[in-house]
Amino acid sequence: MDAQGCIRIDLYICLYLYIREHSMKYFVYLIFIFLLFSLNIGVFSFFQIHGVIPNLLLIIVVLFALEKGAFDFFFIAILAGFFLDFYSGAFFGGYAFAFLLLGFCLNLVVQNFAVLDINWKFLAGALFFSVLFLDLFLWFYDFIILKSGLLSTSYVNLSLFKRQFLIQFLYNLLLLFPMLLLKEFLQKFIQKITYRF
Amino acid sequence: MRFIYTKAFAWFAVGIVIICAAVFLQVKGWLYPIKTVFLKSPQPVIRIAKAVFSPVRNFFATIYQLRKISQENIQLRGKVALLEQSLVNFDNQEKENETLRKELGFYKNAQQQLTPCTVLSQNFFGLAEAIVLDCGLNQGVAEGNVVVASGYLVGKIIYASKNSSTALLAVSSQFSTDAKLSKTGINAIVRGSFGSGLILDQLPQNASVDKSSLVVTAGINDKIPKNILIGEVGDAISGPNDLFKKTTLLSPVDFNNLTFVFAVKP
Repeated sequence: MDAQGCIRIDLYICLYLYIREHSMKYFVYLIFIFLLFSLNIGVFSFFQIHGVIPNLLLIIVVLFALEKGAFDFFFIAILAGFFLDFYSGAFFGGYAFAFLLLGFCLNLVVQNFAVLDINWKFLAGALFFSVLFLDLFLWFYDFIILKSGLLSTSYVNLSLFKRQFLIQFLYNLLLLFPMLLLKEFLQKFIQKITYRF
Repeated sequence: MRFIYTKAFAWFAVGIVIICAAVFLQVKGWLYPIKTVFLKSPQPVIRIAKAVFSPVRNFFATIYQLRKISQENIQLRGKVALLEQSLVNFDNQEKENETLRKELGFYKNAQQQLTPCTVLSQNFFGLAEAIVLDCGLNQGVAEGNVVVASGYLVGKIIYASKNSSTALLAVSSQFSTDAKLSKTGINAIVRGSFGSGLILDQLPQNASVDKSSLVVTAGINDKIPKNILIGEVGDAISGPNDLFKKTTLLSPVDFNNLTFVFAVKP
């Protein structure tokens, strides 16, 4: 076998190992999002404050997006967005687009502009921006879909935004720390698994 | 412009393409199998979580609302006594009515066609007050059909695909339907009120509207059958100088915990 063939075999092995390692990681993310979503609906639907429950998927997208040099949040954002899109009953795509765009923007800020360490103030600010962005984006998406004629009735009620925004933000803020711990646990778990493989 | 050559932008672009493809499939109605997987797969875990946390929530809710429940109990006892009396009158009238129908040769009104639907999802997250049902065009559910639970109006179908549909809840401010007072036949409009309740609007200022009068659908919209119960009249919220009378409308339906509903075909 010549040198070129040898390199090609190495490349295939590398590719195989890369796929095996990453497929395991994404499979763990899939299970994690699935469980988080189920618990979000199953548990927190009993603990509504003025008809509001926290959006754990939004918090996890924000936390992953604020990580420097990692792009796992793209997968998490799309998957979490799909879950919420199917579940919300609104026109498909609103949550997925919003999460993807939000994650991208936050990541861009962290990669290029955030010179200081990410602290609690920064996290709370990012969460505030995220809740605001999500609500406004969903309203805008609904408006576009309505204007394009794909829907005959509007789903999104912006007056609810005025009443619920602050509660939404505070409820999510309350769960930011537990979610941060959960995210760190998940990352350690993934690290352990991928090393084993 | 340099940032479009970054890895992050490449991932972002791939994400946009995936979502656009999914939206296209959804518009074409080809996303149904995936939608079913996404909607139904979390149900067992949700059910287990609900079974665990439901008693906890009920326990604390009962303690919190104990005084309210006891007051409600006294009111309901009085109401039951009144209703029992009305039932006797109603039975007599029904017999009389039956006899008259026979004598005059009237046909009985057609029964409403109900399609049972399970609520697959309720949106607690965002600004949309809608529910996803597991019945669609294949089961005879169409856009504009009304949805009821325990005999009361819950909402109407605003989007129907092959095997699932989305209903806008009556408490949504986007919701409105024609209605009438069951006792007097005065026409009005029922609207949702910012997710918290219902409002009976456009009542003539000179109309006498008794508290606790029943409100039903008027049947002006051909997709919504008449005489579907909506709720009972609550407190007046308009002043004497307003053009129309406006009152709150109380529905016994718990819009936050719907599990099983019926779509009504006209």
